[in-house]
Amino acid sequence: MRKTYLAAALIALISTITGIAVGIAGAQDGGDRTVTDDDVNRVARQLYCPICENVPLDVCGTRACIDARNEIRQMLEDGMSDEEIIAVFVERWGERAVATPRDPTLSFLVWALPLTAIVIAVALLVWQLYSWSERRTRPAQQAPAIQPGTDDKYRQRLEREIRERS
Amino acid sequence: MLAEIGIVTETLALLAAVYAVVAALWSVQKRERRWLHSARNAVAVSWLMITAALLALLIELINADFSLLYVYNTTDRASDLALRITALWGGQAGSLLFWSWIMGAFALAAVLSNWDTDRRFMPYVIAVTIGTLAFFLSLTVFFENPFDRFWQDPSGNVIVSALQPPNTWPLAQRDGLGMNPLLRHPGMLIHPPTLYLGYVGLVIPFAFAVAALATGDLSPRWIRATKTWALIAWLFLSLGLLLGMRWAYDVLGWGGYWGWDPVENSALLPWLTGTAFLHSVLIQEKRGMLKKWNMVLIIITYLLVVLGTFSTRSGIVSSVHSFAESPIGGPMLVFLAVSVGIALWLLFRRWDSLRSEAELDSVFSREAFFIINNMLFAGLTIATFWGTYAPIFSELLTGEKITMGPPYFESVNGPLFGVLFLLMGLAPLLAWRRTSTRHLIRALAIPTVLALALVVVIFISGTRHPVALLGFGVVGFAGFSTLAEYWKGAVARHRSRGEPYLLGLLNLFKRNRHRYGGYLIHLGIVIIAFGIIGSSIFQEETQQRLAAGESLVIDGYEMVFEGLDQGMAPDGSKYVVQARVSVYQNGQLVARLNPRRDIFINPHGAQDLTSPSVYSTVGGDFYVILVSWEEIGDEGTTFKVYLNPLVGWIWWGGVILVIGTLIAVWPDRRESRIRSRALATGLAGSSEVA
Repeated sequence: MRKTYLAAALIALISTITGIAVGIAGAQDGGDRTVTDDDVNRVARQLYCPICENVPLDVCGTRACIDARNEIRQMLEDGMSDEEIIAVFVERWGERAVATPRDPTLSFLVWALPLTAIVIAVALLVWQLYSWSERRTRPAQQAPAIQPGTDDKYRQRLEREIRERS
Repeated sequence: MLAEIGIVTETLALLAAVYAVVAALWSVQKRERRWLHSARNAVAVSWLMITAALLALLIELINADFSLLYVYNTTDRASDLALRITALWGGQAGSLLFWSWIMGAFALAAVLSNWDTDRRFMPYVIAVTIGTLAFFLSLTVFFENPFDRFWQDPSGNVIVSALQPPNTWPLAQRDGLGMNPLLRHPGMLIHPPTLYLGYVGLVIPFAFAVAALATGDLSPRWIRATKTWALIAWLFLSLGLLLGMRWAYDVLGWGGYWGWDPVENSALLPWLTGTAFLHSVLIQEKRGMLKKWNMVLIIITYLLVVLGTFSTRSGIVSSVHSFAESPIGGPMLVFLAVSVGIALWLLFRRWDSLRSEAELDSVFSREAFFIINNMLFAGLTIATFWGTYAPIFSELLTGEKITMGPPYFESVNGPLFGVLFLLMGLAPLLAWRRTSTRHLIRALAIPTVLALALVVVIFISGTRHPVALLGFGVVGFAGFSTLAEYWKGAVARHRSRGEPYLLGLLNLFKRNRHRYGGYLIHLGIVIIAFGIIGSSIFQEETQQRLAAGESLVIDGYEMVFEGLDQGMAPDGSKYVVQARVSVYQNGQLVARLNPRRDIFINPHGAQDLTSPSVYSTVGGDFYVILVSWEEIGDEGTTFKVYLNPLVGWIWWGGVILVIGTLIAVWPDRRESRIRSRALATGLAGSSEVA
């Protein structure tokens, strides 16, 4: 009988401790987190001022950005993640709120050109190198075996002297 | 009276410039030398007139004549002499006149210094350089006149006009607005002039390229005539970029120096194509290759110069530099379109004549690597151009305005720059035409081993960031490869002539200024790259609110807030709030810093300027600012502290870059002698005088 009471008391104690722990964790997640300036800046750095274009939110002194930073602080205290907060501002200010657009069409527009240019440049380069090596295997391959800096007499002499003296 | 002198002289300068263009082209049409002489004299007259107008404006600024709108907008009575001189280029109208003065000086110098050797090119060189000058002068006279004055009519209305409207009398304001606080920085004294010198200098090689296309003389003559000009322009453009970075670091108060802002990018774009041009012309000189490419490059460079000026002054791309916005965008766009049209027409007319005289013998040759280097520069130009102007295209096509921030530029340009540094290390090790594998491996061994050793040392010292290790390795390889070239040369001189190593090294510079000056430029760039990698990847920051006596800790440093001092500056120009902070490292006091906030007061209100205070060491900067939008007081002041590792290397690398360029452009007596001899024997073009 005593054992039963002890077991029940132990279960109650464990449940209480677990409950308190879960409660504390919940409270932390739910709204009582301590948010530092660095936390706010971590998010603000990824956003851009809606008025002064190209100025990140963490270093902008306009009224709109001061308000936005206060809002970010509140959102962090409410337990929102960085991504969720950024999504809120993109929704409100449009794609200009972030360093590169998140919308798939705009994102494609932004990245497609430089990537296409790089692919074309690499393809052109490979093609050129291939055609040069093709030409080289033809009679031109017998081009005089030029040693380093042949057309630079001074350098050639230097290197010859190094060889002779070493 | 001075304003009238200014108006008359700037108008005469414009008329003389237009006359010079017409006379120069007429000399080709009529085949009469006297018209060309007349055009040359008109170039000189035009420049002298601009000089007179500029002096008139300068005196008005120094005298603080607030009857002029420009003086009213850019100075005030509290401004000292240096600030009043700086005001010459501190606003739109003055900077356009100043730009024109530099353009006129460069054009005159280019015409006079090449008059005997390249007479055949002169009509076109005058047409292009002075045509560009005439365009900018017309903007000054008709759109942004620095001599616009205040007038008052009987009803009390204030009218702004260069010439006096009927029934009005002159009106002088009591005091001016003063210069934008952001521009009140020592760097601003020389940043705009150096940038203008760079921009304008690049017009000279373009003018000679157009002359070569127009005359059909497609030999490397135009390149030889302009190589030094291109290098000087590149030097000033580099210096302008570095000074701009320093200004941003000291004034904008965000702990960085480069934000991929559209105006920064506008100056970077011609620098990229100009750098590619400086490398690719070597191939045309040595091997007669890449003639088309060099023409395309210099045309693009010129267009980027005009586009950069257009886009920043029209406000088409918004940025922190938007103070320069004005309605001159339309005319500039027309000028840009006409320039593109003429240049492309000339280029396609001569397209078939621009064939290479030689072909590549081997992929392992210096010219092959220069070609890859040029493709990378072209890639960087396209990527940067797109990043700068994509927001406009996006708005036009989709109606949605977007931002193109650092993540885009870093992820696209970063790898391209990395490969570029690899080539910078490889190319000097290769010979022209062909390099044997054995030679290449031997040449690669020492720089590669040293670069790997560097990476190991950095790794052991605690750095684990893979991109940083890769970056330091590649940049280190470029640096060691360059140093190896110096070492090889000095050793060879020591062995062959018995010269001490240091003397041998100095003689290398004397013997071949272009090459060894160029290597010094490479070393400067390598050191800058170390600074950029360190400060961008390992930057740390914290923002905390402290009461007097409290402290914050960041990566081994402790900063104690001692208190605040505040009050009016002695000259009454601003109210200053200055914090006293002490910085400790490992318990030792290392610096006492004074971040401050200046509040400038003018008739239209107050403007803030937050000035950081910095403790610099070779290892990096401890950079602290007052967060200006938060309350400031002894009971609580918000500080933002940045640790910027290696950032000082950027400025020191810049100094080395400047020294290297000066060595490379320094006149070579031997070359001058050869040139004079060629001229005397009629081989340098005097026979082609019109």
